[in-house]
Amino acid sequence: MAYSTEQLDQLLDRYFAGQTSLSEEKKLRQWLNSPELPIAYEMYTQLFDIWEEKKAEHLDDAFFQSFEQALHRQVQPLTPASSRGRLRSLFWLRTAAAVLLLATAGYWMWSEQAAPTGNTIDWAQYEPETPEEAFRVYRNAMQKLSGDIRQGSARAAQKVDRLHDAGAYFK
Amino acid sequence: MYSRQALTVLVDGKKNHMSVTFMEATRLAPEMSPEEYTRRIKPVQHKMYRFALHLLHDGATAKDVVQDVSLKLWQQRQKLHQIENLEAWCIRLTKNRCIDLIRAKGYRNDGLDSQPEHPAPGLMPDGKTEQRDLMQKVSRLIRQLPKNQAMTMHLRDIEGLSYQEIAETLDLSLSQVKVNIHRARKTVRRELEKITAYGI
Repeated sequence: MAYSTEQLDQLLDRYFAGQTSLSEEKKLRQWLNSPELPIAYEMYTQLFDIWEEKKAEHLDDAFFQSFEQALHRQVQPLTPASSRGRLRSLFWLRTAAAVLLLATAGYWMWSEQAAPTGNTIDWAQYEPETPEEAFRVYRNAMQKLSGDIRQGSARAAQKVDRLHDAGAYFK
Repeated sequence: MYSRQALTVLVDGKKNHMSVTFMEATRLAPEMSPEEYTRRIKPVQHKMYRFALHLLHDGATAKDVVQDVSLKLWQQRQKLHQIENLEAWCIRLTKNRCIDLIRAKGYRNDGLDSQPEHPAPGLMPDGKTEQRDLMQKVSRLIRQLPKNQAMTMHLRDIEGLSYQEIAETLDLSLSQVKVNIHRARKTVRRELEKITAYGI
């Protein structure tokens, strides 16, 4: 026997007090499984056998098959192929949008450049040719300006009168 | 030493928090293939199953829970790379799902003495009825322990998790874990000695 019963007792006491490390618990299992173990300790061997029995409970192959099938069912919509397909359709959509934008911009620029220059107003044709004509144009403009100013001052006087009336009402 | 920060992953509408290092949190999460995911999750699924079985006492429902949690985790695979301890994380989600089931449906299976689906070969040779009887009594005893004590004992003695991992998995403090394991083992020892001495 590679250990004394005192050592075994001490280790058992420490185990049941929750003071042993994992390596000490492994050593305890080995000691309890040794063929020279005194019969009084067999109940502890059986306790450790219970742990071993429970540790041997495991999932079977049928579970893993079922799990992998369920996992692949979830993976299916996210397969790289379908992702690539979605990316490809996005690429063509973006390309088509870019071509359309470029074509529109090109047409607009071309139409701007190709617009007939004759549409511009030739202001030279309205220039007065004689001093008399220039005087007449100037006088008409001044008369129009004078009329506008008179109209404006009449309207202002009218508003002042209204304010005056309103003030008199609230007095 | 990197500072730690909280990571939150939403599973079943519940926020599950776990601390991760800054470096892990800021690392770019690459897209994970189903094969890679299966490879990483498969060893953990056995532990998840045993834990669910321990809580629900029903193999079929325990399998459903493992599949459900694993698929939910796959949907959040972008965050999977940020998880420091996938095993602890998965068991924690399994625990939450089982507790939800127990609460929602009043789920209870009293098949305490039900046989495991895959008994360990060589452990139970024919004729060892006394040993089988003792195992059944101890199993029943463990199931009668307070929930936290039973879960702590399961994670330590069956799954071989460290106290720190158990604390992270069950969302308990390290001292709470130590107290739980101490009380659970003390009870088991007392009852084990009683069963052996008096056969009760």
